[in-house]
Amino acid sequence: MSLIITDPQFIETKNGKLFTIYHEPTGDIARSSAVLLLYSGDQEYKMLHWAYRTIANRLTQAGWPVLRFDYSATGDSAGVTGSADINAWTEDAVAAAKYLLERSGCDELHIVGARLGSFIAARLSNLLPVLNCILWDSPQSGEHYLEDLQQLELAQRKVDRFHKVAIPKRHSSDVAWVYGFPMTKRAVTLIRNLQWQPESVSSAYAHSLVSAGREQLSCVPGTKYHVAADIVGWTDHFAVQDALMAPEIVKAIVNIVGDPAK
Amino acid sequence: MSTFSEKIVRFGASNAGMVGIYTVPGADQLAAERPTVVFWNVGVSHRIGPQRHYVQLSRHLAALNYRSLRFDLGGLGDSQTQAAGNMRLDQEVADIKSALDFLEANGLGHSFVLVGFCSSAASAHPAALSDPRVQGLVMIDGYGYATPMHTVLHTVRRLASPGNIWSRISRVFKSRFKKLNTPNISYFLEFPPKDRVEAEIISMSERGVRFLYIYTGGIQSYYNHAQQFWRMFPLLGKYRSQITAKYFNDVNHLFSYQKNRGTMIQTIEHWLVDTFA
Repeated sequence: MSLIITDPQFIETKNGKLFTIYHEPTGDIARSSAVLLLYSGDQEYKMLHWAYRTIANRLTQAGWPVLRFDYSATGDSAGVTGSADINAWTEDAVAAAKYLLERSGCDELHIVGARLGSFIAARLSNLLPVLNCILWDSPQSGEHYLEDLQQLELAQRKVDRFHKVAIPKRHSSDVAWVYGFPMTKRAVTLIRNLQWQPESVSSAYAHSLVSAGREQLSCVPGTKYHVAADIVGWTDHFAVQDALMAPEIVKAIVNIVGDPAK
Repeated sequence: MSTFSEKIVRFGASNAGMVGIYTVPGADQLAAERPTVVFWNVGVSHRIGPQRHYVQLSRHLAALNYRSLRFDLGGLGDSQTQAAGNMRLDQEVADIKSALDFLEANGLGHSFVLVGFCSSAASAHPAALSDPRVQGLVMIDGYGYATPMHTVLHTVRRLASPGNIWSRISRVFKSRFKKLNTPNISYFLEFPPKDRVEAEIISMSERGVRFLYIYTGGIQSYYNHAQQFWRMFPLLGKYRSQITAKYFNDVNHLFSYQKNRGTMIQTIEHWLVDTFA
């Protein structure tokens, strides 16, 4: 197996330093497109990190340059947790995409966005030359995404009640705490307003990739529909605490990037 | 507002395959005299720590003139596997040593405080034991052993809890509500024998290591009252001046809520300032 070469770098953006990891392509095939991976929000970031590393490694072995990055105020990027929102994250994604195009020498992008990241991928497709969008387990709407987070919060509280941990009833007026992460009211409102429209995604190719058990929940209008056999516990308190192993989803993403017209 | 800077560092085998973030205060003069604080993965999560605690903590510590490194052990997070064939714990200790070697060789630290949280406490303790450069050890929800008092309190609380009463009722009626009993909660850790751990803490204490043990209400199956640390390790009484043990019964394992988010950070900050400043 070829050696995986990664290059972590901070890039300067209007929202501060973003932590990025560029995965060098291996092999002899020169690709004209590169792949940008977009995480979901804070609460689902931890489980996606391993899955995205795996996807990036698989894609680089097939010759594609790949970039992962942390949105501002998440991961190792600049900013206090909870201080950013989806608008800032869209700006971050634009900056990361431009860096990837410049770094790789490619002129087109595949964007993979999981969950909340799928809305950002769709926005990006209207701003940059995006060949292909892969929207992984997109929520039906922003409201549905917030409901899923609320389920996680309730599961956490159930565990804490068992342990007699003092559970706060109210939060401060400006910030909601959802599953261990602060979210400003503005950030929550911006997510709540997210809706899918037929014109939401404007890439040449667009795919909805749905994990098992979510077949009725995640098809974005105007996209090709794929189901992968992995079950992903987005609303499972214990699954979300762990690294996500989803080999069928990894395989499906590599296949779609390899042949987006299929 | 204080300033700090963060740099990506790479070190270790596999073509410097381990990745970390080194945080340095704006004014490095004082920091150079103090130990560098080191964090790594909790379980399989990557280096930012549960709910990004380590990022927040690193930046807070920089404001107090402490340097820090948060890094991924080999094969986890963004790091490449370092060696094949070693037992996992041995490899983790070797990776931590590799991080300390890197920091020392590059003038980024000459003495260190290791922070272990839950499963990473299992590698923090042996790493501190084996490396004389370690001057401080923070263990959050680390080793714990039931004592007679723990068993009494645990039994009384379980018997008196509404959940348990409900469980008994539901069992009597064999009702379908049985599944609503207690949630399946465990943060699994396998601890080495208590006597061995106690002897090792004594050995480190005699070397001059300072300790901060933090326990939360989220691990009541093995730790459930303030004095339990001293009851678990009665021989450590002689070293009380070097050991701080705190118990926060109303805080969950991940410090999830706004009101106790600062608890861990402030406790570590105060301990560092009192101990090393």
